[in-house]
Amino acid sequence: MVSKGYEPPKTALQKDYSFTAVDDYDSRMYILPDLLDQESREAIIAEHKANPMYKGTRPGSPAPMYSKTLTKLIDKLRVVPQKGKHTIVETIPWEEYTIGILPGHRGGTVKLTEEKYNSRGEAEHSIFLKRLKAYLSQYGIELDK
Amino acid sequence: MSSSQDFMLRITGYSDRFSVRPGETINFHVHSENEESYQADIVRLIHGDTNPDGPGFKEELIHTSVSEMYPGKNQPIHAGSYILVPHCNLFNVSSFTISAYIYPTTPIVDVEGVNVGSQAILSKWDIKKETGYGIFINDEGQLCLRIGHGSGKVEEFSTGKPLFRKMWYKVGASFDANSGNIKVFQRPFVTNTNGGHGMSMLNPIEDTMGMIETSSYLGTPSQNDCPILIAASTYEKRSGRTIFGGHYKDLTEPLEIPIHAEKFNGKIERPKLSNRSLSDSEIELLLSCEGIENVPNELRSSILGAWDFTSNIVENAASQTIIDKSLSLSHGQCVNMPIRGVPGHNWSSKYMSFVHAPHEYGAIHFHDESVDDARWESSFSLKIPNGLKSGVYGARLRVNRIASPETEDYIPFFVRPPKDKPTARIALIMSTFAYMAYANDNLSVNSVIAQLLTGRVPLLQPEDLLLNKERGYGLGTYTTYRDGWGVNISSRLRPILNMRPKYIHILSPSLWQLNADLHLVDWLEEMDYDVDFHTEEDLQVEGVELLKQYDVVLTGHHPEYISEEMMDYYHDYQMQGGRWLYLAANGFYWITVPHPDNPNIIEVRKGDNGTRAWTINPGEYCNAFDGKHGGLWRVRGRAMCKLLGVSFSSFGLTYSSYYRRAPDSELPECSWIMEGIGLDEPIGDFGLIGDGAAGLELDRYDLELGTPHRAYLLAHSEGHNDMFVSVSEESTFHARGYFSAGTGETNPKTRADIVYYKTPKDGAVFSVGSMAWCGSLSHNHYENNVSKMMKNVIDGFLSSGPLP
Repeated sequence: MVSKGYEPPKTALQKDYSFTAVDDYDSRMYILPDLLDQESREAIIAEHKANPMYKGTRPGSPAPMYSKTLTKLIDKLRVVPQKGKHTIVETIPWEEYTIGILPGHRGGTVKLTEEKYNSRGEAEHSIFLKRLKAYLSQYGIELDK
Repeated sequence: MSSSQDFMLRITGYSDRFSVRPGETINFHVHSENEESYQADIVRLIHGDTNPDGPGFKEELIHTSVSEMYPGKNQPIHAGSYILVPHCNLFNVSSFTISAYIYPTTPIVDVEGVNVGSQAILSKWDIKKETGYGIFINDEGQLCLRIGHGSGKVEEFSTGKPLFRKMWYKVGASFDANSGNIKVFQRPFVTNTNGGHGMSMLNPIEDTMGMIETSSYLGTPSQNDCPILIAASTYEKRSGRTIFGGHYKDLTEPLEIPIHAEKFNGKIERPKLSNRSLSDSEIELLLSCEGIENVPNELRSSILGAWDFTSNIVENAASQTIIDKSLSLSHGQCVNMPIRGVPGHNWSSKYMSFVHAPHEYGAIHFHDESVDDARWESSFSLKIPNGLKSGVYGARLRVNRIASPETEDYIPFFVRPPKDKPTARIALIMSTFAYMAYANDNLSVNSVIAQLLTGRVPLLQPEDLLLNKERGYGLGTYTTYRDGWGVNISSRLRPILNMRPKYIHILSPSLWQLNADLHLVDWLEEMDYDVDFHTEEDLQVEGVELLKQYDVVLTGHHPEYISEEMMDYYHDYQMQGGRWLYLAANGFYWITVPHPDNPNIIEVRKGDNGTRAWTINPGEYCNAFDGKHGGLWRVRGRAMCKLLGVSFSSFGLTYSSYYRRAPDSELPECSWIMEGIGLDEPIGDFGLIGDGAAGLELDRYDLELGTPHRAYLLAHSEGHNDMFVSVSEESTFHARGYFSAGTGETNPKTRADIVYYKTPKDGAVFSVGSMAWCGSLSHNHYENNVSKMMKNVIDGFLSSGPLP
């Protein structure tokens, strides 16, 4: 006697539909409206470029933090899945930072690209731009040069 | 198998002990990825931070007999926990039945969606020769029986139904050599309470219930002399590596272990092997017994192995010996420390500890990434020369003498003063339990939350890439196994690649743990203080009498993992007039238990409370190593405030801020500490960790949590950014606008408090409440107000007579 085969369920629930739906809602309602025109996009890019990783707080000044718009955007960009996510590899200590691509699973190869920068901040900003471009393209918005 | 990685560290290693005294010997075990020769030297590590903004890297070459070139050897690590039952001819069976309960956690893929491949439950299987037998999960997640008759002559019989993750099953298979009959079954065994976080409503059950009855054409399994392995099969029966000593206290001689494969992830309970094809009712009877109690006489002699995982878990579940209750007494040994004392198929949720109900905790959880000991060959040794200064040292390894990030590694160790002959009045206790707990996290490569926590893309160095290729070298308590369970064991008998000088840690804008502690080591050296170095392991063994040899005791920047005994020893030191500087934050936080038979291995259970990397599963709160409730010390009524005056309040693994003086600092009891520091002068608005002295993790006073009633507030930090969040144990209701949901710029509890108080017999405690403090000591060539305050405190604590 042999057991009958098993057909896994192909339901919306199994595909985590709600999460994707609400994530999309949050993007469209709360993040994209601030990115619809070129001027707004340029302002956010400039803000990130000036402060790619935060800085120490100095007495008499507020802690250097992002605007609400950039905060919401960057938090969204930072939680993309690990597979294919950009990373930074220190190829020469304190001198050369190479953009890498994560494999998305343990033991996989971290691919080093040809893209290199002299500082960690510059590498961080370039990754921000890549992610922003990918994010906007999901919604049919082309990131200007 | 891992894929190749070009740019990565090519050499690494570990030592057989952390701390040594003059005259004692330390062994180093080295792996050279491409079998390249390497130069080994002994260096004293002084400052490990390579940041050009600071003093730079400092080490001192020590001339020893170690200094020479050594041939490199590639020494793989054979990770994955299993039980080894040595071969015996009884196990070369003709007919047989295997039965067990299993709770698979990666039946097909792991939590990253990667196929795990076939996994053995109980096997006497030779992978290369394809002989023997066993029950496995095949790569479609189905239970199967495999019988091997030699190369290319393998029969596999599967149930045809996938096993589901996080569900208990009765499983078994039988073969009758006379008739050739084969039976294989997997039957879900789901109760309201036994699934942990798995389903308790399985409908329809037929989706995963499977059974086949068929025939073998090739007959009796071919014999082999492989051991029986539970949760693995044999790739190579002789690895040249043995288990003996330490946590293998029941072994009277070394036992050789195989190279294993087909590693299982999940729980197994009541595995049994019989030498005939049993009926369904006989199999049910065996499944109902822990051993072979209540088994009728005619069945007893058929049972070759009945491994009862409950039989030696009482006060603790630390034993590595697995008792066989059958007549053959074929006891097994755990390898790579699977987790004992975990809820079994009959867990009722009534008893939350194996101590109270061992019969409900008869399962063992296996993980294919566990490592208790790398078991590498020793490469070279050092007998510590007499007169060698106490300090932090390293065996520096350089492939072909090349100093580059890919070709250079350090194996840190600590030299103590001669026994009972302290060479200083100050002692620094290195946080070795914390170094082990933080070992080998894979956050940079595998954690989605990493960038949210830190506010930046993680920076990978060559050691991170080697670690990733090697799938973690056993990982550490800041990550999970590939089945989603938290890693709760950490051994120091393997490379700990994030415990190195020059290493930039993901959890900090710069440094963390050992490398950050070298900021303090460097400052002490620059200030010309004589200091004796000891480790937490040493304190664990030697108690308060070790501390009492010193007028002043310092901690490193993050002594987060503390044993019950150490809590007592520090308290006793304070009560007896000791003067203590806590130069840290989030210290004395997690209950940490060294293995009772091998302090090179620690255990930490990250309970359902606390700022943590993972949450314990139901019924798994109690430490296997001591049978007591695990998690936060706070939960056991020993909040860190009682020892330190401050409690963990907030963390933000990003840039730092500074302190402001508080009014108590002007009191006559305290003003000596602030001498040379102006009333309005910001303290520590500089530093190598996030550009400030207040950062990473922050502690504040709290009278409700045990801050002594006469403690003084010397200073507090301000200006933390919005990446700083409250610790989770402070949150009951999490409401916007209230403390628990606030961030650095909205929550007044997000701060570090510098607290000072006196203890009996002219003792005292000085707590800085920040992990970034020591990173500020070297600013402006060590001329700064953080350095000044430290010097005031240490000099004051060293002076005789009562404090002001």
